[in-house]
Amino acid sequence: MEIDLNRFRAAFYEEAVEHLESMEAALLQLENSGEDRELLNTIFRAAHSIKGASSTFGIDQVARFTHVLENLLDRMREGEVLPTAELCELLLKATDVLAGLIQAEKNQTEIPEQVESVFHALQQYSSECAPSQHSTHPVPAIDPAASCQTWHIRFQPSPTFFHFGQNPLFMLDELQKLSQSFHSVANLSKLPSLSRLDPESCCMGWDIELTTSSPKHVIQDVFMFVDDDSSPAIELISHPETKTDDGISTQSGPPIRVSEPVSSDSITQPETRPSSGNTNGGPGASGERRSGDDRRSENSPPTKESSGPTSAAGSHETVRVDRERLDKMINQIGELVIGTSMVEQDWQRFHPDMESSALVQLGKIVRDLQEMSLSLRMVPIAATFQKMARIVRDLSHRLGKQVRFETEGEETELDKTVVDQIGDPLLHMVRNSVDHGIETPEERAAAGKSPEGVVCLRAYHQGGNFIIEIEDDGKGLDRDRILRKAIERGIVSESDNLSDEDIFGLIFSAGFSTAEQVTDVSGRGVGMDVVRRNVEALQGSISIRSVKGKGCRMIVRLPLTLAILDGLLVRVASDSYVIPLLSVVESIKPTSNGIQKVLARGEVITLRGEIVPLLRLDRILNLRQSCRENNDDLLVIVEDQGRKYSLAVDELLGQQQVVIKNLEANFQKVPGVAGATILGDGRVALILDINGLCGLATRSSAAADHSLSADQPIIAAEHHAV
Amino acid sequence: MSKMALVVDDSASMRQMVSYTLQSAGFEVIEGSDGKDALGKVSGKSVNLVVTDLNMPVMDGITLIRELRKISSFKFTPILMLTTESQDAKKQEGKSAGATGWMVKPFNPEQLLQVVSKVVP
Amino acid sequence: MSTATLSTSALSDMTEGGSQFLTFQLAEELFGIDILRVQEIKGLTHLTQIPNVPPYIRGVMNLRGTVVPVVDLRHRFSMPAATYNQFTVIIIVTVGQKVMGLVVDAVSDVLNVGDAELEQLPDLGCDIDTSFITGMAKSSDRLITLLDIDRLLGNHVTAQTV
Repeated sequence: MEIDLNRFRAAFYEEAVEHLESMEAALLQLENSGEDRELLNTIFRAAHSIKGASSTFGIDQVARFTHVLENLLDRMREGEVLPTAELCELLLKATDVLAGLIQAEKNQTEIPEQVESVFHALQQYSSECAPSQHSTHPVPAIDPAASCQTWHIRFQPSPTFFHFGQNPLFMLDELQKLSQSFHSVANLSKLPSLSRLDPESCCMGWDIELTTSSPKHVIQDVFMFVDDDSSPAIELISHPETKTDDGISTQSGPPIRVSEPVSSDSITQPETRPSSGNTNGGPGASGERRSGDDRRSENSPPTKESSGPTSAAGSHETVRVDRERLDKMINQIGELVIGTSMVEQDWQRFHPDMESSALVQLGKIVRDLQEMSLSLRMVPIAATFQKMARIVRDLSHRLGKQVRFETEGEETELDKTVVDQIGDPLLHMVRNSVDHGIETPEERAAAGKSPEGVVCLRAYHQGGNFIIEIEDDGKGLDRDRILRKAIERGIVSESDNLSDEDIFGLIFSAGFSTAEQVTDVSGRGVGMDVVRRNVEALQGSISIRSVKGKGCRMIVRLPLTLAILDGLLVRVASDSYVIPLLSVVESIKPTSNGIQKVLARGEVITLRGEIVPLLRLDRILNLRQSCRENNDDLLVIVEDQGRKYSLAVDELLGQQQVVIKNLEANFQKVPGVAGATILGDGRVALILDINGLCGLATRSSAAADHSLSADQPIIAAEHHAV
Repeated sequence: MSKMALVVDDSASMRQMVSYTLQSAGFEVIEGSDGKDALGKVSGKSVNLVVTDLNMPVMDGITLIRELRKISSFKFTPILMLTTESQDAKKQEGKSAGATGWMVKPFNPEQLLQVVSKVVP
Repeated sequence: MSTATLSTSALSDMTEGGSQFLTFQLAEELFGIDILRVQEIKGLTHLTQIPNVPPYIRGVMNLRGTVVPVVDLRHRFSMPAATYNQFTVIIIVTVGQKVMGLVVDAVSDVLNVGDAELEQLPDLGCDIDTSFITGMAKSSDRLITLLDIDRLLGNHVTAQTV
């Protein structure tokens, strides 16, 4: 039977990542707590699992590396090697290398460079303190292939034989299969009278004579699992008829009894147990020499589990499902919801005065089903938070700052897609906190704070949103400096009346991050404006609270899922569009003279004193049959990157949760359009991408400005100054 | 009635591999991700074979073997443990806890079936 | 018109060398596309306009929950636009991994074209793009232009729409 081991590799890669994550988390904890058996066990177990699976699946590079790692960890577990800061550093590096190796194996790319150096460093550590070298197993001499020999086997299982799940009959069967002639006699001498017979203990023995061409070790293999007390005595009775080579010549003279016990590990495992005669293996019988982790798992109270990321796994049963299949199912359920609402609409059309209780019931079930299906994609944010722990640690070391990293609510769940995409922006914000927020220990001491700063990541659900807060107790944002800089860069003008929050929000503006500010750490060419864009691409938003000298808190608000969207359904001309509710501020009916032309092309409205540009969807989107009645009586005010725009629509059709379908699947990305959805009547409606729309509008008006500037240079000059 | 096997390993890939191999040999498989999980899943049932890893979180393999042997329907069930070459002490411990046999990692499906055939014909 | 019958008959005739084409009408002309690329044929349904794309992309339709772009072939070939009527259909075709719809005046027949019957397109003059034409075939007394869907709708379409 051929089983292709490669089919299991995908699962291995996935679980290896998880093991590495828990390893890293435990290492970081270990670094702070010093020696902690439980942590060491967690780390060891992770390395051990990766090694076992990688060697089984023939991923040799990984197996070789984890083998050394495991040896070292085992020493640490036994207390032979102490977890010094230096060693923790090395182990962290080793997890990185291992992750790189696995990644390289998975994508068939180059293996990371430092593999060898880290490998040798690990090797050195594990051998340095090693009292005895790892014993290599003596390979038992294999009998030379012989022709038929006759053997006598005396097999007397111990009384407890059955309690090990053994069955002597299987062994007899197996022996018979090996042999050309087979003769066995049951030894019933120990059989008690029926009244005293214990059916659960083995009282029988066998004397077997067999002739076989198989060498002795094959016969021994039959009994490989029997306990020491049941080991059979195997004796060679006859010499091979034709055998004359020197291996046999030593057997001349008196018949040699070859009768060592067969238990295969008696070779490598001579007398490690204090009571080697003990076969019953009852609890406690072998208690003295139990290695650390068992003792731990039995004796330590479960309350210990409540701290540390290792407990997050718990004993929940999980099933791994291919992402694509899951998405397909969620999609189909989305269709079911649409199908149901089509039926509901039909029903209402044909029976306007009657309610179908069956239909109401069905609708409820279907919507529950959809909610459940969406929850299938939810995963805890814990893994993402753990990565940040490492970042904070490395960064604070490098900057000479003392930073304690805390997390709250890491078990809070959100959509896997969002989790995958929030990592980068979060990373940037955390870096920013450590780099710009937390002061050096000296500065902190001077400000009367503890020298150790705190960066806290917090996650929780609030009103259908997922909130992540990044809070530090550093120096806070410098309101005046930000404002000054923003004016310098022409992002705002001096006359603007800005609230504190407005000003803090300026750090997210494009072009705010400047060369002067770019450090090795937070710089990297991306400013906070990229963070904001990433978050907004996820339909999220960021706000900032900060108190000078006390610290800063950034609050990221994300939708729980990207599969559905809360939208405002509007009609423009004959088509319906969905505006993401998150961007909608309000909808208004402008007064008759509310809309004013600017330079004959642009249009603005005045909304409570604020001048808001008016965007006409049919123009921006170049709609063909622009047969819309131009009465401008309905405007939806939307906000993008802190700027308001008003969109002229013909009708508000109501709020609706829609299932998002992407256009790229069969077509391509369309500017101004975030995706599409299928409405209750089966029609496709486009979901507007407010950011993209505003971009489209600005581009076309910029083009208009450009044509103007040729005639009227004064306007152009002024425009640049703003 | 098909033969029933309990496969316990915290590593999903190993579990998959062992289960798949056993299924291809006609076993019906119950999977457990650790000892405790496995105990919960087989309560009230009986199986023809148990294959368990030793090093697992929550409840390790040795404890699982010991617990299983306490259940009357598992008194005589063949139990194979998965060990690595560096775990000789563990192997002894497993044996005294009541394991029938063992399988040294790494192994391939053929080797697994060969060992299984020793304890469940 | 069912997809199943189309494709089985297509397969059964594949052995004879040559291939089968679904023919359809645009204005006065007959065109053919490889039947193995045809997924199904749908009646005209509601099309939702897509902004800022070339006019021959009529919009997107809902094909059992999937959003599928639809190309008006008359437009694509710069033929005079026609009002859609009860014969207007959308041929759903696969282009690589993607699914697209083609609006045509009417589908007519499935045509067997042996390799021998396939004729090269004569030079029509330099200002007519013929890169997406595989050749021509004769059926009774009519000429059928055979189209290469990948060239017609593949990267070509997407590149132009940006």
